[in-house]
Amino acid sequence: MPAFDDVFNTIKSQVTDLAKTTVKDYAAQAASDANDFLESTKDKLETWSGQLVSGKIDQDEFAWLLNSQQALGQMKVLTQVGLAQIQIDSFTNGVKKIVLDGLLSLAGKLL
Amino acid sequence: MQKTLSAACLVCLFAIPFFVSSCKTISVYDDTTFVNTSTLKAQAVVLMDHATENYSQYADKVDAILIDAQKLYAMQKAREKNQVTIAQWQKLMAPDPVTKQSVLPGFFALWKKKKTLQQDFIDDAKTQVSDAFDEILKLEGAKLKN
Repeated sequence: MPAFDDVFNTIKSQVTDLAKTTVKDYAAQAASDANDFLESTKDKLETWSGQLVSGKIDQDEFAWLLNSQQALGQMKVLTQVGLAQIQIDSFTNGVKKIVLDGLLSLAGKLL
Repeated sequence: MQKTLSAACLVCLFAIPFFVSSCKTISVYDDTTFVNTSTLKAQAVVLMDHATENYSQYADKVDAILIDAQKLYAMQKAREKNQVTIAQWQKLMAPDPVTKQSVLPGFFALWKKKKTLQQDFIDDAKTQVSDAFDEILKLEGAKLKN
């Protein structure tokens, strides 16, 4: 049935484009965030070590800072996990809209 | 003609449930959570600034902040499909299994133990706590609106 073929080819093409855009944008942002965190961790460790050696902070405070940086790293990973889930939901919503629009146009052609 | 009509009906029958069905993987945006988390962040950071002074003067305020934080944490546990945000709150509030230290309650516990804290440490700690809250806010703010 040509009408079915037209509609499903359009749906397929639109879903492919949506998937490419979604994954590309998310992956670039995640990589950039991870890089920024590693750089800032290096800077902080240098600063805190210097403060410990010069007596501006003590062992307990240094330990709290190290622990908080570890927790912050884990929270950043969780943020990325959550953002990935949001991308999935957004992609699913986009696919639903494309499919629904396609099916409604198909119904219009059949009536 | 009848065959075409039947096909159109089939298409609609398929489309409607497909459109209304929900298959979310993560909770949707909650404005109350976002606003309350932002407020708590501001209050916590302002209070931390007083840690050069004696803890006993601020003990009540510390308790109030920690109670608000626990309430907000409990609210997150009640939301559907909110596991990632709950895990973030856990990192902020609960002791690490290895180091036995926590971020927000841990700072105030250190202040209580030492009576006063050094300005350099307070400045570093404020950045850490602020960044931790920002991660929670970043995720909540990115969630899809209903």
